[in-house]
Amino acid sequence: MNPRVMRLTLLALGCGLLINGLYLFSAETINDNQKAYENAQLVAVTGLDNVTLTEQQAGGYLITDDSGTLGYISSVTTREGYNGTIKFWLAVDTTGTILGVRIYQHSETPGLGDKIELNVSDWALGFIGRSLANTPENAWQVKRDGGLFDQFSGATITPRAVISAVRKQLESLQPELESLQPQSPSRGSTSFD
Amino acid sequence: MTKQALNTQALKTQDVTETNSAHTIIREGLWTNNPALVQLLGLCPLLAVSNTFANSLGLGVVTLVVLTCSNLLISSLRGQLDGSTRLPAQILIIATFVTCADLLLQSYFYGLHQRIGLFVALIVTNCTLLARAESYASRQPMRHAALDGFMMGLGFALVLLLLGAVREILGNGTLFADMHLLFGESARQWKIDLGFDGFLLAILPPGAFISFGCLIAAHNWILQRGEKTALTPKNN
Repeated sequence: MNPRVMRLTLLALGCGLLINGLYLFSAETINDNQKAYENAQLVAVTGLDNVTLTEQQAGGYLITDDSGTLGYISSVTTREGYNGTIKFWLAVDTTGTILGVRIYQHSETPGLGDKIELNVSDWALGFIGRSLANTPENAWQVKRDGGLFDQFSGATITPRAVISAVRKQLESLQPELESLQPQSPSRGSTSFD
Repeated sequence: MTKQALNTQALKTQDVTETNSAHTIIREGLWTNNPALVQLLGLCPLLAVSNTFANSLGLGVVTLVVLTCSNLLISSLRGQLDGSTRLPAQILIIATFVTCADLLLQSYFYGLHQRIGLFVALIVTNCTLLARAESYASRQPMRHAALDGFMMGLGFALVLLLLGAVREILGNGTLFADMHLLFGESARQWKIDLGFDGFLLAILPPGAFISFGCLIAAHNWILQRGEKTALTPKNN
């Protein structure tokens, strides 16, 4: 083999080993950091103080306090974003009204799509108080598409993905929410404004 | 001394020449040949990350460390890597150090990584690194290459910090906010509130270009004044 190619191959091998070694060494810490961040977002998503979160078998969390069940937090994943998966917590009360949305994992473009994150912009707060009952289906879109939610200049794909994932999740949560709230017979005919 | 003249000189000889004196290397990196203000390299991360002092400090330090390490290793391998394999080897070395820095940042400064993570990966494409590797480190002894990497990195980091500080003050009305991402919880109190709301434009991309333009203008003005006083010795 050409000695130059040989040396380059050896160098590539060395670099690969170095990165792999460091990865093995740091993978656990990075994973812990990720978990801790997810957890911090989970605790903050309801916006409520003094509540207890209990993990459910289905994967979500039940929000309770002394007075009983307050709502439900689910983890939502969407692949419709601009780059990779977006994962977020969606907290709803027992009537299906959104308490909060917190993105905990994404690789959207910094400065453009990352405005879905609460420490970058307040965009995610716009979901609070919305529900399928008070927001018609065609309003679950960015303003450019005729909906209610802000888009970001230069990045509409990211907010579109989050908005549609929130709506779909609310729809699939309906049966569970009904089981959480057996004492409310008038459900469905009430409007929440 | 122009950059071209420096390069030709470097090509001609591998000896330790006058241009290699520590003093010259330091002055070049920090001032006369500053990678950001004079060579205008690495502007993508420079302009994108410099919206707060904390972000600037994070990216500046990572760039400085990677640049020093890559210059050192490239210089130590300069006898082995030549001709057509030199450029791929340099990029490989730079990419390796950047990946290592990225993993370490995720391990020890996770909060900061969430802010500037994408730009850390982009250090690979920061032309300052390849420029120093190719035009300096691959032709010079290790200690000079390491010093050059450190000083060029420091020059880049200082511009980044200055820009970060100016934009944070103008745009947010604060200084040293979010330093806890780098120095732990106790650093939360370092934040200085200057008592005004700030001017949004300064944190947005156009603000980055405007502030950076002013910085280049100031740098040129000082350089030209220096030349004038050097020509008229009576004035000093």
